[in-house]
Amino acid sequence: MAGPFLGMNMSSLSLRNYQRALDTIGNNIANVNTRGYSRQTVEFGSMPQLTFYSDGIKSIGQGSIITSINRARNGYLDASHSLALSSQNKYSTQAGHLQRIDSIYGEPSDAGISQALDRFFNSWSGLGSNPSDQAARLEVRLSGQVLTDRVRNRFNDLSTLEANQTTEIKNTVTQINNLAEQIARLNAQITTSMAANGNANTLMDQRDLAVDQLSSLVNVQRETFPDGSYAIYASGHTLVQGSAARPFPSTFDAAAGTFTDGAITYNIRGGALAGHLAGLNETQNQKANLDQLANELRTQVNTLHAAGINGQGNTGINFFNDVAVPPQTGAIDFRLSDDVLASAEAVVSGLTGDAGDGSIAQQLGEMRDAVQAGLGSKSFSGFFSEIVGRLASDTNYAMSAADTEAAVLAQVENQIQAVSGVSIDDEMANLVKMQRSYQAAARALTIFDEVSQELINIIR
Amino acid sequence: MRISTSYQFDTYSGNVRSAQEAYFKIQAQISTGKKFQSSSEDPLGTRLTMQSRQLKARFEQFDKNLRGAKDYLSNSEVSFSDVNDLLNQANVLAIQGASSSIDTNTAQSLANQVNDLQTKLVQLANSQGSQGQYIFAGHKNDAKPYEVNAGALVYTGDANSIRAEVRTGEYMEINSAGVSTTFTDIYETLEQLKANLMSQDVIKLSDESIADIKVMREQITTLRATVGSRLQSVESLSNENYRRIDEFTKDISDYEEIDLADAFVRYQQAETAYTAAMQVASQGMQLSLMDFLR
Repeated sequence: MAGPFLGMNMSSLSLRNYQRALDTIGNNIANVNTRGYSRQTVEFGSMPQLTFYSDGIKSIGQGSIITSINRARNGYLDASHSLALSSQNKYSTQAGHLQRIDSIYGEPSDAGISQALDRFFNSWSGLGSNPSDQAARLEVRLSGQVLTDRVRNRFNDLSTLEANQTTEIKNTVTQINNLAEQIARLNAQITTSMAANGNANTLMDQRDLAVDQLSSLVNVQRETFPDGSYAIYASGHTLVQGSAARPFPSTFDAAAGTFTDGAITYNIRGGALAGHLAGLNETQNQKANLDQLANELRTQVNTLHAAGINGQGNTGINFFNDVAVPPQTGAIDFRLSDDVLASAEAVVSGLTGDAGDGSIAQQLGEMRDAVQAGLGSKSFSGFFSEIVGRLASDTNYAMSAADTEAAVLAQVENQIQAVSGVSIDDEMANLVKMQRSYQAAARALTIFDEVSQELINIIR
Repeated sequence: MRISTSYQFDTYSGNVRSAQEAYFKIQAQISTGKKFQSSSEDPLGTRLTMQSRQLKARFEQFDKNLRGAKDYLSNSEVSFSDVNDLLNQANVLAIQGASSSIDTNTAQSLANQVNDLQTKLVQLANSQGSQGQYIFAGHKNDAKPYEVNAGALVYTGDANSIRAEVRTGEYMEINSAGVSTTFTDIYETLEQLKANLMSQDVIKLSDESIADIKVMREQITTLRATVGSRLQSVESLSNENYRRIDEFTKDISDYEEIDLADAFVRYQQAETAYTAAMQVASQGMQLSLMDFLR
């Protein structure tokens, strides 16, 4: 039945609705700088019609209601964002580690291993060409010392880096587990909130932000359930299901790029975790390379050196320290032998020990170009410059891949921003629209008030 | 596309940031003079420059070797030239002795002069190089190699050659190996000359001694010529070394160092881009619908 106050009712309903819409716009503007915030929109709907009889059945609208307050969000973009975050972080993390190794070698420079190798073999050529020159003998010992020091120091720097990288991997796993617990907790809150109020926009924003953070650490897939909860799979491991978080495995293998919980092996394909694993693997490879270089230098130089007689009349003297063959100890304690350390006179220049005999030194000088079976048929310098060259290419590749992925990520973020981001200009326009609507509703209320005033006056 | 406020501002700051990065990168290049600060920025350049550095270091070593060789050879050359003078003097003495008009006193005096020449010869045979090594001793160059024993010059060195590496795997003999027989022969010749003078044997002096001295002079001349030609190759190898070292230095600088003129142009460009990005941002940031609403 059409009551006299229908219009007033409608108007007051409108005033309330527009007030809510203005509040929502206010909230959007307030959150323009909130990370992970999705702008919210108020959806209006018509009230059920009121039917009445007037030369047949007619109906009239009864005003509007707020049907929902929506969160502007695109699930497909969220998945792309996760993927882009994982890839970008993988390559940028890996590039960071490779750059650190690259800067440990510091090539090309006059303070690197390659310069020391050149100087070492050249110094033998110098001694071979002028065996009676005491300065040439001292130069051989000095250049040997510089070479061993550099190889050893680079190796120690790599060991420190290796320890740091291992710690970073452990820290990343801890972060993953913390985020998993946060997501599980939010899952529970969202499920409850949706059942009770039908809307959990703020909590969902928080959860999506947590998933984004998780995606930058490891490659993540998410599955949405009807109750509003997410299931999160990190590199195939079920990390979160409903309100439960399952800890990420802690045993890893850098060479294979995997984590294992004993039963299942998980291939880490993305995120900072994959970058850390790749970095650690490269560090370990470089340490092995330096071991190989040090041991081959020991074998080849010592074999020739020990065959000659030195100025002190001794034969069988090693140039580099060599405790046991095999196993040799690698780069970690690569030094000159005690004899050579004690005196430059212990350095052998020739087979006979005569002061003018430079035959052994000449052979050692020629070793600079000789290919070594123990170094994959490369010379010492060739082996090392190959290491540096490959590392430089790998670093360069990781850096450009990181740049490419960053562009992809920026693209996806732009798309997300286009959907979910708050635009102050948009909000201002809406604000004015809602303000005008509110003014109109208030005006309508005044009219209805005047009309009912007339009615009351007639009765009196 | 819908432009959100944070996208708008992120884009401005992102553009300013990347323009700034480019600006600072070229600044770093100019201030360090290096094209790249780490090998990963230019993997190919790194490998090329490492090769050039290696070859440059090698040729610098060859240069040192050549300087050592030059020292050895010049010392030999001086000694041989002195021996040659000595033989000329001996020749004069032999000719004087061969004239029939000399008396015993004169013969004795000539013989004494030959004796002095012998002493000088031993000194020259025991010549030392700049590191104190005996240059005519083969490998055993740390002990005096020539001693006079019972009227003969005895050699205790060996006939091994000392070789300097002048090019990769290529060696040059620098010590005139086997020269000892020439020295002992000269000593022997002088000893004969002395005996012939003492005995005033004019026939032997003119027939044997003068002829022997001639043979010895020829031998010394051959040795001098050998040393001289080696000194010449040392000279030409040295010159070639300098040229090669210069080339490698230039290569390294081409790979590693920036072209300043080009860098300054790029610096100007980067500066313009940086200024433009800031200009755009400052204007875009001021625009807002709010300013047009009343």
